[in-house]
Amino acid sequence: MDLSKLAQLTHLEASFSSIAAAFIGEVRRQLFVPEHADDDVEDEFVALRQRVDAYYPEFCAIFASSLLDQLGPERLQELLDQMNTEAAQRYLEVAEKIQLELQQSAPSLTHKLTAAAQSALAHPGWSPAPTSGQRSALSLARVAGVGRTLYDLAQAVTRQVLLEHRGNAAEPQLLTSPDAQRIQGLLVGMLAGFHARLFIRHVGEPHVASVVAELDRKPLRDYVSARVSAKPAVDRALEKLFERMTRELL
Amino acid sequence: MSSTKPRIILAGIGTKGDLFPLLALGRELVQRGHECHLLGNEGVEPLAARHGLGFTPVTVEQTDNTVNSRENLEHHILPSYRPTIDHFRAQMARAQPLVVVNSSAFCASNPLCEKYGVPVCRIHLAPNNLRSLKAPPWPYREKLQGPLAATYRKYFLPALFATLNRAQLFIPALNPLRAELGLDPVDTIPEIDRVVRARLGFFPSWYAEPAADWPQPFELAGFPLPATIATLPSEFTEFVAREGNPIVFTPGTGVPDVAIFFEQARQCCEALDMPGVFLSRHFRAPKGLGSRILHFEFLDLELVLKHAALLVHHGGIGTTARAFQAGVPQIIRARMYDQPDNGDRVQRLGVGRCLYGEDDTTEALIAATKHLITSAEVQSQVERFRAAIAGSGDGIPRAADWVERFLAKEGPFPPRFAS
Repeated sequence: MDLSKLAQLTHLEASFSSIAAAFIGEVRRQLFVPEHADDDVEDEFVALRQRVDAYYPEFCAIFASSLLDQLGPERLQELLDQMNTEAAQRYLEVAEKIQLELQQSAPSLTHKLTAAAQSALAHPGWSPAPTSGQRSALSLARVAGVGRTLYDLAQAVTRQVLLEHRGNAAEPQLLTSPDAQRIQGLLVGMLAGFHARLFIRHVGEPHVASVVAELDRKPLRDYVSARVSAKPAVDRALEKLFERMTRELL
Repeated sequence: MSSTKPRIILAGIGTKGDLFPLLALGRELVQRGHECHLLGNEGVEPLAARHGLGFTPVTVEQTDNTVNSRENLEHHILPSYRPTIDHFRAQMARAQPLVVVNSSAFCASNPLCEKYGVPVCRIHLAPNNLRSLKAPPWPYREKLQGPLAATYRKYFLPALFATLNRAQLFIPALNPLRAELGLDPVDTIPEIDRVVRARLGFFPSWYAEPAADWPQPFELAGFPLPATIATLPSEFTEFVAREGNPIVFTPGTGVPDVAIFFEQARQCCEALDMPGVFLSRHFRAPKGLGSRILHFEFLDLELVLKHAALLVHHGGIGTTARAFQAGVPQIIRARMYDQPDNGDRVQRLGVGRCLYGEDDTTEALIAATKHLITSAEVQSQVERFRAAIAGSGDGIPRAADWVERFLAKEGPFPPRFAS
């Protein structure tokens, strides 16, 4: 496996850069460093970023290992060879940014989703049929590998709103009742719309159709699917890496 | 009946380890002809009486030093306020000058001293609670030498100390009591401590070098190491004669998992083929400990450590000081409060190891023990500090001198009878 080729084709440097920036941001927050600190403190953070960047090879190794576990060396090599198309590269270049922005928006989204869920709960019969735009957004979320993330967030908000309304966490049908399903469907639709807008902004409107088409066929579809399957293992390995970075760098 | 000679009130709350230095200071002051009264937790009355001190229990006995801040506040600190208020009111009726020696900003004596114009002399049993940007406690000492030194010094530590000074559990509970006393509310610990007129550290300068930003005036007395009147049981001396100097293990007050502590101790002794002495009231020795391990509920550390190869303990400052005094290397298995800071200091001084958090394993205990009992460098360092303590002696007489100097310079202190 050519690690540098994997890193280049899957734009791992951009992913690592986002993660490194998030790590530094968290350190600044925990150490009460203001946005514009004294020069000597800013110098320390420039040096810290350089030391964080030294972990890039380990990051690539984690990523490669998880993909190898999912696909095996031959299939991964084959996919990489086929992913050097303009549309695939355009998507892979922005995929991490979309994912990150989605995560960062979760608190404000939760607020909006809660209001929507409460409103839906107050109007039991309200169940509008999805528009074609919503159906496309849902389809896009699925092929982009974020369907599960959106569903989990919608479910968490639905559960919270129902608990506040009914107050019984042990109720077995809490999330399987028609009401819960209706609310959850509405919220997933909202989230898919949000994701689609992010996607369009990052990919660029003129390229959306070609990128979506690429996502819907091999090899990109298989690659995205493998990344989704590998995510839990990657997250666990990254958590350990961050713990070590914290211990070694701070 | 009134007297112009000041009455010295010694006030502190905590476990016995927190109260013993106050008791020893009280005994010394009584021997010098002063009238002393101790306000403390239940359970030390017999000792206070034996030392010639008056005693008023202000809160229940504290046998568990692993309680969290809220429990400590609710079960020990806040309950001490009413009895302390009652005691001070009775004192005011006697119209006798007072001076208070206390050991914490949380002591109920502080607002009462503020109300009645009584000066407070503050004792610091360990250096970790001195909020210094120049010499912060563990783990921040190391951070000031690290790659984010300026960040810690300029932003993190000031923010941390400001948060600690706001004492968000304690101050909201204190202010209603202050209002009852006719005192304005406070927002921070330093406001409570405006009543403190002199401070004394019960540790030597080689243990914690005074920092330029410590509150002033500040003196150091050295470790309080009053001589014991106890003796060692023959079972112990015969054991040492037969087996050689043992490793002494004592988990200190209230460590909840003493069974695990001593099982690891047993494995350590077995791995290194060393005799062991286990000290704890909370340990029920299981069968099969073998002839090379002896358990006692209590033995005087000053005496035991004269015959020890090594001391393994939780890192309370009193136990730490006794190991220095005896010239015995030590392993500190730190949990909380001043323990990690003491452990770090012991390690930096080259006389022991600190095992903390995930580093505190049986394997680490065995490895550290092996190193400490065989290292010539460690032996040289423990001897160096043993000699330093032998040369300077017990800190208690110096602390008594400090109180007397304060009385001579600042006194007498006629109470101000506020409404």
